[in-house]
Amino acid sequence: MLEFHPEIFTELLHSVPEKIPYCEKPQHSEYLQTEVFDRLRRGETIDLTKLDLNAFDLCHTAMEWSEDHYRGMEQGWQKGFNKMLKLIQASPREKRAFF
Amino acid sequence: MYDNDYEYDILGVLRLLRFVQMYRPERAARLVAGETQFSTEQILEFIYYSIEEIFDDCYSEYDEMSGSELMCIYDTVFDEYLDFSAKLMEAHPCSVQAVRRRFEDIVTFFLSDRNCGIFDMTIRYEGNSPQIQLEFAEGYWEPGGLVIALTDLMHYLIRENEHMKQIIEKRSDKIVSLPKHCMEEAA
Repeated sequence: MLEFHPEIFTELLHSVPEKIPYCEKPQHSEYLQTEVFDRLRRGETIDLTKLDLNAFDLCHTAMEWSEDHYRGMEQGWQKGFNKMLKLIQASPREKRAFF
Repeated sequence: MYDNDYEYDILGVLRLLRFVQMYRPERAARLVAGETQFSTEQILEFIYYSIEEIFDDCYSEYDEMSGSELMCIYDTVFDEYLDFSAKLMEAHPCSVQAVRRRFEDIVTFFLSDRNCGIFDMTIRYEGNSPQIQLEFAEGYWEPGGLVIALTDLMHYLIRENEHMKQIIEKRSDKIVSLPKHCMEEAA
């Protein structure tokens, strides 16, 4: 049977890639506020050919609650995953299956 | 954030435009030229006819049997994700099915949100190319939520692909192998 090496285990843990965020951190864009939202609220139309698509980024179009939303989704998946783990055969016998 | 009654849907439109401008710039010009004037009354219509520009191939059809609307999407980003994942997994005993399952989990994670209005979802494979089929319940259509979820999904996969590509390029430096005596014991 393989021997457990804490230093190798730690090294492998550190080699896990950095987590890619699900969405960008929402930021306010003054350009979008004045050129799009304020004008639409006044009932005006927007000429899309004059809209500078490079003047804003995806983070300026993210919903305020998007981070919380995805965090909640992730927690829900984790709960489901934990529930699945509890159903595996080794768990009810309270035996160590890994270390 | 922008204090507008239609903020959610307008952000969906802007997100779609920005995403296409970033990753499909040639389509962005065509998209904007096709619908020059934009107002709050046209939000849903604009998204409905523009959402296909996010993907390489996207078409909608009405299923008379179930009375629901179907949207089929395919993109090379999906293929790249599976290819890069498979290359990364070469060093591990991982099957093609496991890589596909991971892809399906990512798609489900982003699109299972109720704000998308998706009633059912199927992923089919032609060879190793996945095609996603989304089913919308009749009369239930959430363009703002759907376009945000689809762009989030695509943006995530693109970043994941770039990340995996970098790892593959530097793989010889990145892989942490077990000590020789452990490998011998395992053998």
